[in-house]
Amino acid sequence: MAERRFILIAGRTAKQGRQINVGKDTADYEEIVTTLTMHPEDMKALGVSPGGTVRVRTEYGEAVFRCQAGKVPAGIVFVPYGPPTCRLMGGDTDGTGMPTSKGWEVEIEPVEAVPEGSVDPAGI
Amino acid sequence: MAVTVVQNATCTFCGCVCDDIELHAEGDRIVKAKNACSLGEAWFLHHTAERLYPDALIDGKPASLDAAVERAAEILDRADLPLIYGLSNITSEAQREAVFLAELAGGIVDSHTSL
Repeated sequence: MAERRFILIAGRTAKQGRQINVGKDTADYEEIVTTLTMHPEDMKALGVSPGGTVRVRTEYGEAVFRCQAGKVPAGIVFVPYGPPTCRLMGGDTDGTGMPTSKGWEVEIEPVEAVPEGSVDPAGI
Repeated sequence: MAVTVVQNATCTFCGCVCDDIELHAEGDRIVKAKNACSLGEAWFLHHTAERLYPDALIDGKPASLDAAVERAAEILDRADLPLIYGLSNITSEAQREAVFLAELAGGIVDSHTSL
């Protein structure tokens, strides 16, 4: 299955924001920041099942996420802030002091399922 | 255990900087953050005043603050272009001191959002 282009929005969620204060070394945090939300029709077109693994690439890097269907517009995907999204972002801040985290053009492709624990979620 | 109540505390978790938080503390732990949102509540309740680390380290070994300041000054004095880095969860007053230190030492200030 060929990769397809999407617009990626990374951002804060209530769950992610609470969890960074509880601990970033927890399974809950790991699950939150490695979960990508996509429109169900886009998942079908991409050939990825709910819970399937996808690889996301930008001009700066790549990372692997678990894909879930959700309420996002077609063509747009969402991931909570975390180490995996940091691997995708460049250093440009547009003068704000914070790297741009919205509206990245990304390429996404499904990846073969691998046994749990044998993949680095950062995609290295 | 006696509860200490602090009125009009400021939450610096996000840029809203809500300053009407009522904090209830027992010992070294905040147990209630009235008026805080779920993000602020998690921030207050999971940051304690426990002493988890030594005051300072020199070459990885616990040291007094005075000795550490002296050593840091020696290092900064020898540095060609020191980087003052981090600052994301500290007070405005401490950030002001960090900028002053960078000016004094001829260094650069940067925050962790660059990484």
